[in-house]
Amino acid sequence: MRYLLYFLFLSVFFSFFEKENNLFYVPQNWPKPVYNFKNNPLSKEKVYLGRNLFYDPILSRDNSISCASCHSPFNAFTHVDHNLSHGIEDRIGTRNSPTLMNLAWHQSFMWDGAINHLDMQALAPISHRDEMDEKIENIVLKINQSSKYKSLFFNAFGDSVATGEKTLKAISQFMLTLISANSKYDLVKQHKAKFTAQEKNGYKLFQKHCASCHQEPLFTNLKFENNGLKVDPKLNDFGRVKITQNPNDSLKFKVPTLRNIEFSFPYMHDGRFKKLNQVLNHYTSEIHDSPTLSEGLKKPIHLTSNEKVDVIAFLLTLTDKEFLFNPAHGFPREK
Amino acid sequence: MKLLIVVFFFLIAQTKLMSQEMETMEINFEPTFHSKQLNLNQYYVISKNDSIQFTTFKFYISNIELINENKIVWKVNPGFYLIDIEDTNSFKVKSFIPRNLEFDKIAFDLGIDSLTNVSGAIGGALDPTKGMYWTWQSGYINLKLEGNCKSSSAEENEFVFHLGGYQSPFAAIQKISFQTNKQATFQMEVELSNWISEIDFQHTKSIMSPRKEAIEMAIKATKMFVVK
Repeated sequence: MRYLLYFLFLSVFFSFFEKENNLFYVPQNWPKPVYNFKNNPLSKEKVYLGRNLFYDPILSRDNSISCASCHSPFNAFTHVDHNLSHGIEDRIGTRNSPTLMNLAWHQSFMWDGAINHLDMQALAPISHRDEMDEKIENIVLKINQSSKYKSLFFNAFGDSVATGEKTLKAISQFMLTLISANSKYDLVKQHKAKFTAQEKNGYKLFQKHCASCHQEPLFTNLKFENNGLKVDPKLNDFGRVKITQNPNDSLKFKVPTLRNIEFSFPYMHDGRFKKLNQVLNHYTSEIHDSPTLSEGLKKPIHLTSNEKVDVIAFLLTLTDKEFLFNPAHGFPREK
Repeated sequence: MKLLIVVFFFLIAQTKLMSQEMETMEINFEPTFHSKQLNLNQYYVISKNDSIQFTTFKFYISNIELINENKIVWKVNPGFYLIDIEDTNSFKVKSFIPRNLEFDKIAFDLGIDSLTNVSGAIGGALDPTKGMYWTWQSGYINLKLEGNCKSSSAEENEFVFHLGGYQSPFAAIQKISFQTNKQATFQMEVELSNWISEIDFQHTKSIMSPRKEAIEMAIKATKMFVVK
């Protein structure tokens, strides 16, 4: 009898862990994610809490700006129309807000890798004077005064009291569900679709000239590279060197993913290019040489104008409409 | 499955056994200045024509180890403690150790180790709402001291030391150890003047990021800790 009871207890205990959820998956042939889910196991309720926080201006000092203000779902979670991020009281930041997708595979965050863990990422825009200009301490106080969040936290954590840890973990949970792996490119890889002749040629050129940094299937090698942009004298941004203080990191920025690039304009860390052909022209004819220039760019890249059109045709196959218009990623309407 | 049941019983038996043989160990941190209780916002004379006042003083203690004949015999786990001058409850660090444990040395870290620094959001003493986490660049602040001093060159004579950094070559965590007899309660004086007397306020008024100066300053700060 006693054994039976223990057996029951254990089976309930383990079934709890085995419960499959569809909140997160590793797409076919992708590497293992780096995010440690053991410390923050996903649940529907926590993701929903995180989604509410993501869309809530309560995270900013004057309750005016939410994460989604600069990371809109229809723009692959970046900021459309602004080359530099645009924060509280119309203040302008110094960098282009990055896209948010497939973040479970990222080891570091921000253009210079200043942030070492997805959980801690939200603290940066929350605290930045030109972004949300708020403190996590105050946010937790505000959340703990809200009856809406009392029930959301209770549903998620079995405890209605918010803490910094839980708040950040919930935001992580929502961000972890933002997986983009259903573009035409992915369907081609799964033999469910075919490239046009133009896309196919573009893909070949891409593999030859771009793929060493923009590695498949994430379309980034997740490293920091100097891509030959001249320093903007107004911004004077030298990238990763500020974090590591290692001169070999001067002018290096994190390689961004090219997934959903059609919707993530403007491009580059300072958003200096609005169009994809400007980006390609940069790589073929405007590379600014310096000691830390990326290996792949040391030899000039030659592309004819037709070839550029083909590369762009390929890049557009990275658009994932299912991701961009997924209602589960959008503003949480009252249930 | 059977194995699991056995393990389960074993664990229950183990915890029961252990709980019987444990005793409390207490480390009492006593922040002082010139051997008197340290108070925020009070002026302390540090030289003929200089006095100093503190507005913030807090630091992390972690990884408490008991050592016997150069071997670690006990680790306090999980052991992250934030000592904050504004919260006298935080001065007492309590933990359980085996009753018959022999040790001749106690060691702890001033700060947070690198693995914890890259482990994402953590609660309790490590919750980012404690104001000991950098937001613009990931990492815990091991030690915060803010105040003002007449000789500080900064505006309104303010000084700010946020010492931290976990990545080589700027890891600022410091190990502190003391020879000791086994006892249940340790009085650990945190004599701030021992650190202050090492600072040249005319040249150093603020350190707020991981760098060489932060490590040098953290080494100076270890001089505060004195076992009574």
